[in-house]
Amino acid sequence: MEINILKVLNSVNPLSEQDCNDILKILKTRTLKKGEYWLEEGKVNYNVAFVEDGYLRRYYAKDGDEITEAFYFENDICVDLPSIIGKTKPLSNVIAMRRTLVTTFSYADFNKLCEKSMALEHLNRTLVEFSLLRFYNRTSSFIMKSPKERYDDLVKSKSTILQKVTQYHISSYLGIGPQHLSRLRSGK
Amino acid sequence: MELNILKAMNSVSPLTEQDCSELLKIFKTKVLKKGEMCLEQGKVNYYGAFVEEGYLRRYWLKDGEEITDVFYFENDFCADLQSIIGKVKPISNVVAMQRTTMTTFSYPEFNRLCEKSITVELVHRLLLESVLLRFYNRTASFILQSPKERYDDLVAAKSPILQRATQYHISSYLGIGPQHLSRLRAGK
Repeated sequence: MEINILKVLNSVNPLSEQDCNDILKILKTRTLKKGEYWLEEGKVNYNVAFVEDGYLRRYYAKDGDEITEAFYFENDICVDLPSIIGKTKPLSNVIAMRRTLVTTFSYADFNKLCEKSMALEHLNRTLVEFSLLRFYNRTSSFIMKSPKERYDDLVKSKSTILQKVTQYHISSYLGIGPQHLSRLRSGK
Repeated sequence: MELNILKAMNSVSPLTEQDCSELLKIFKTKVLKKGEMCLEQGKVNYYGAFVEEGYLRRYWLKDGEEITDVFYFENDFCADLQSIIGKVKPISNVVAMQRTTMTTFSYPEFNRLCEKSITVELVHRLLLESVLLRFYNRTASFILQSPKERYDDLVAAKSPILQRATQYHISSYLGIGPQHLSRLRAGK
C-alpha cells in the first residue's frame, strides 16, 4: 500500500533519499476500528500517528463530560507532545471516529534519526512549531473570541470539521451547546 | 556584563565554540524601563528576548481589561511565537514590570544560524518543546483544574510569581478576582 506520510514530511522540509530510507525503517502501519483508542488518559504513549485514512478526535474527560479539543484528519499528525516532552502521562484521550488507518513511529526513534541528519532535525523543529501554533490559535480563540467568531472562522477556513463531524462534537469543540450551534448555523 | 543566555542555551543542549561565537554576533542588549513595552499587539516584532534581570508580564487586552497570561523572570525566553511562526501580528502585549535587562536577537537571524549548525537547530527545537509544554500545562490547567488547584500548584512549585507579582496580577493570572485570591491565600 502507498503511504502519504513521506510525501507530507517532504513537503514540510525536503529530505534526502537516505533520510527517507531511514524513516521508512521506523514506520509501522496500524488500523484502528471505529471507537478504538489511539491514546488514553493516564497511559503512556510516546508514539506519533499520521492519519492516512479516516479521522481521530481528541477530548478531555471532565466530570463525566467529553470536552472535544482537536480533530485529526487525513495527513494530520497526532501526538501527545506535552506528555512526551514532560515525561508524564497524557491528560486527554484520542479516539478513532471511524475505521482509521495510521502510520506510526516512536518519537524516540525519530529523535535518534534527527541526531544524524540536519534536514530531519529541521523537520522535527518545524513540526513542533506547527503544534505550537495550533495550540496557540485554539487557546487564543477561546480568550479573545466569541463562539460566533470561532464558528465563523471554521466556515471561512472551509474546515473539514464542518463536513465530517457530527453537530454534537462540533458544538463541544466550539465550547457551546448543540442548540447554540443550530442557531449559529441558521444564521440567527 | 556577563550574559546568561549562552549558559542557558548550553544547558539545554551543548553548543560548540563556533556556535557560541556566531550567536554572540547576533545578540544585543536592551534595557526596558518599568512600564515600557517589550511587545505590543498589532505591531510586528520578530525578536526573541531573554531576561537577564528584572521581569516581564504578558497580557491580553479584552474589553478594556488586562488578562494576565505569562510572567517571564530571569533566564526565561520571551518571544511571540504565534505571530512569528504564523507570520501575523501579535495579539497580546508584554510589558516590563520593573527595570529589565534583556538579551535580544532577531528570529530570522537565529534561524539562519540553525541552517548552518545542527547543534543550534537542536537547541532551538528543545527550547520550542519547553515553550510548548509550558503553554500546554497552563491551557490544560484552565480546562481541567479549579482555581484552588491552580493556586495550590503555584505554591507547590514555589513559583516566583507568588513572591514577585502583585496580588492584582496574580489573581488575573489565575483567572479569579482579587478577593477570591485573598480567600485562597488565607486558606479558607
